[in-house]
Amino acid sequence: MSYMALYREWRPLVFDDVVEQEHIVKSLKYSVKTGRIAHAYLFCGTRGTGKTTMAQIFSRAINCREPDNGNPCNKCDICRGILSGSILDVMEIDAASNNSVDNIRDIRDEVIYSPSHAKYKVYIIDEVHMLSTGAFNALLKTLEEPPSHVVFILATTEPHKLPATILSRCQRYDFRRITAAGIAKRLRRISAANGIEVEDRAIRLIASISEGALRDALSILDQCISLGSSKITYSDVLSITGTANEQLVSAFLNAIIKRDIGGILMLVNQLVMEGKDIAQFIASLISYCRNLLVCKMVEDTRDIEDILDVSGESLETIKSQAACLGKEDIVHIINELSGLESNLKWSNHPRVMLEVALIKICTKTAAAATAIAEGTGPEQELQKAGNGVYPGQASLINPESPGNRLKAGITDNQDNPGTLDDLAKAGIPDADCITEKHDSDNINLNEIWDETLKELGNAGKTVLCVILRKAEIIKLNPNCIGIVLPGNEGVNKKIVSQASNIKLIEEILKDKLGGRDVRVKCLTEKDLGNAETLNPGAVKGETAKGCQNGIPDDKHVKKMLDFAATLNAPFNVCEE
Amino acid sequence: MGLGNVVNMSGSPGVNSFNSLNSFNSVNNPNNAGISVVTGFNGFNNIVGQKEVIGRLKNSLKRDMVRHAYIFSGPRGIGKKTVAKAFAGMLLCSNPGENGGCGKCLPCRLFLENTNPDFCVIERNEASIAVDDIRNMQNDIAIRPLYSNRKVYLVADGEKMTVQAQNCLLKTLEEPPGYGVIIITTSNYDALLHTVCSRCVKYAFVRNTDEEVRLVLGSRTGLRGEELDFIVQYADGVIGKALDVAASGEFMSLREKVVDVILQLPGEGLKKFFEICTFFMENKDNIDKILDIMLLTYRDIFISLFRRKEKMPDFADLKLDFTSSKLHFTGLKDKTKNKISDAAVSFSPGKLVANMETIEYTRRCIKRNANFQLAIETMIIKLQEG
Repeated sequence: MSYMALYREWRPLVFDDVVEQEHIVKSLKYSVKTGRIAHAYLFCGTRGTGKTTMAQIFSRAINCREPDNGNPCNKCDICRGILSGSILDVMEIDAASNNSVDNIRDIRDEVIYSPSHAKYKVYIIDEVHMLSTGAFNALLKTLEEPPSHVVFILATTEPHKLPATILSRCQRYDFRRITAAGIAKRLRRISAANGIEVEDRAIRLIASISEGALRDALSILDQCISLGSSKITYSDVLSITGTANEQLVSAFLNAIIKRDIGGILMLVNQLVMEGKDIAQFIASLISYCRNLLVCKMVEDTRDIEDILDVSGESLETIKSQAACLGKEDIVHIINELSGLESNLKWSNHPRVMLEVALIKICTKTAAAATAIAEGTGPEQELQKAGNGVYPGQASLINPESPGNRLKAGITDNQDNPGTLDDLAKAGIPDADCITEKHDSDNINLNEIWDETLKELGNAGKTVLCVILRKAEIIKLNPNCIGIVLPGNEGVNKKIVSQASNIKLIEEILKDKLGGRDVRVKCLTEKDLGNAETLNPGAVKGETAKGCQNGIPDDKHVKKMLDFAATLNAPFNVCEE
Repeated sequence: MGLGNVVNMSGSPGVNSFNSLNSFNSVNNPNNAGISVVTGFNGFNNIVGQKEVIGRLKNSLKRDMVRHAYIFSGPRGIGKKTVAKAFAGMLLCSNPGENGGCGKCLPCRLFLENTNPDFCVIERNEASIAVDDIRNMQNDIAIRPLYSNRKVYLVADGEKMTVQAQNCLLKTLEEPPGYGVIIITTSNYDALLHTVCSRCVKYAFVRNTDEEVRLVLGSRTGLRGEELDFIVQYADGVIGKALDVAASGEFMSLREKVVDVILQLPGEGLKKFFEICTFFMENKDNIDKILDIMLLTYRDIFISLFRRKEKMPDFADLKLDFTSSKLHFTGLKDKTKNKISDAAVSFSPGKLVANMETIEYTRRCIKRNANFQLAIETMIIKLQEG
């Protein structure tokens, strides 16, 4: 006889041997003891949790001549007959290959005959979710009221695919994923029985990789055993499963924290050269980030140790890394990576995709860093004060999309109006952070504007260019330029107001103005009109606010008047 | 066996290609041709790289721990099928040696002639592997082997199995008859059902080193110099891909064209838009390759941008060594190369990352049967705009 895979060799033969699933074992045993056998059972749960095994044990237990406390004896002629397959009263049907109506009709025609040896005729219909609709419906009547000697056991990984009419006719048992501890215990027992020593770390790793499926765990153990050595080490398991070891994952996270794109590219290279599986790696990176998040959220160290299954020294590393990241940052990383995980199967170049995702994560950190650097003093101080904290990692926010705008890390500066964030939100010209020394009004704004548009076109911003061509440009104050879009084109305003676009325009203008910082604000004519009609002082107020440090500027007032004239809007100037 | 043309019995072209692949050492050496068949059968001897996988397979055979279900996973062209067939040859041989079958016993001789009924390849070139293919296999596996004490089934490109087909396979895969061995090869492990994966032992094939690819490519095609360099780098450690690219001469010219298109994209506005669209429409059949080239080119630009540290002052203090991080510039004409380096300056890193994502997004759309023209046009606009 050829070698039998561990998961087949170690398939439990009695209820007591089943790993976990106590809730099911208990009730099935009880029904065997009391003889209250239902006519239809539905076993569902993920792969490798014991559905088929349980069905097989149950089919023997109800037929066994001398059940021992609900367990089949596996010694009587019936049990042995069922085990060897010589008694045909227990039938295991592969519904995935026999999924047509005709197959079900065969069953329906057969059920009326009483069992040949055993007490019950048991139909184990495995992978039942693959039956066709017709087949399900053909089964309904038989499933509802079968002859008293018939028991159906349906097993499936996907109960949501079954019609409600089937579900309501069955006693449903949901199999839980097996806990890591349960898997580890089983692995230890099996390896001991095979005379093989397995490192404790290795067992823990197998248990965590197999995600609650015992069959996966045993498959991995089986592969380790076939390596031929008498002791299985942590690195054996790593190389067999293509998993990256914890140090490498931790190194990646360090690189992310430091925004070290070069380092990340090198690490990806190392990962690929070692032949690691990229999908597997992303999964471990995600679970590592999850550990960080747990560290961040849970205060009590003892609790952390309970939740995370990690060794002492790696816990220290995780903690120090968690201290360097805000919780929104971690959530952001996890989101980004899980998006990547689902897109990976479409790609030919998982490596490039991984690089892109990691770079994106890093550049967002970088963008946030610039945002903070451009802000006012208190933040910079805060940055310096947060010793050991790298600039920019405080928040991985994406200033481009307001939806993603997360206030991370820095919480005590929310009242400070100086951040780029607040600026973008309110669109209010920022008078505080720009000095008045570059006050030069002899620049022809329109000429500069034309050049700016040309440059935008060259940069490939065709749409932006087209929109802005129709726009008027006004000076709101010495350091703030308003772009007024014709009509009430909210969509165009939205496009122009995108942080990246505004930033680009600002940069080009800065260039044209000889290195002078300007702020750009986007308005529509209606905005202006509304503001003016509803509150004639508003526009003026804005102007005045811009110039609050100096004497009101005549030329500005003149410009505004000119502009008001072109708009044909009422505009009053009042002195304060 | 009534398997029709669905299940390719050993006489299929697939198996022939296995022999030729397997004996590439002797291809350029006609004097050796007589022996090449035998060396071809020598199984693992002629497989370059994959030492770990092969070592584990051999070990399991030696210790009589052959499993009933395997998944060989790795990039397309890495040699999964070659290894699978070499392994099958060993499994069927009545007196296997260290590295392959003996080549003398009846099963071996039949295997060499591709007529061993105990070895079955389930392969579909274009279409997906359907339930009926698997059902045929299930009927066939119930018949005891004729000449060996094993019967080996090779499901090539397992990800091509439909969901129904995979489900259909489950029970057989879990508990085949004692003599049955099922090997599934796949270039996309994640496309297989969890329930399938959990029943199999996974063997991950790693990429070959560039030296290995160079050696094989050089000896098989006689390529030298820059072209060899480029293909070796493009293949990214996959010998099959390298051979494929080397065999199709048009690839190189296609690449020049695509790079040109990429460089034309920014700043041209609508002027060239339709011209570029036409280019894509004309090369619809090659779209996957084109998107590959675009993706890799943008990656090149990114890395060359990275090399100019002055563009990214944030990273100026980093000491970087990109010798091991692959650039694919080699093999391009000098003019194009310079153009790429020049172009790098006009891209911001964020834009490049966004572009790479756009390309992958487009690839997904096309694979999900989105309207081709719309998908491409949207991509071009996005690449232009950013």
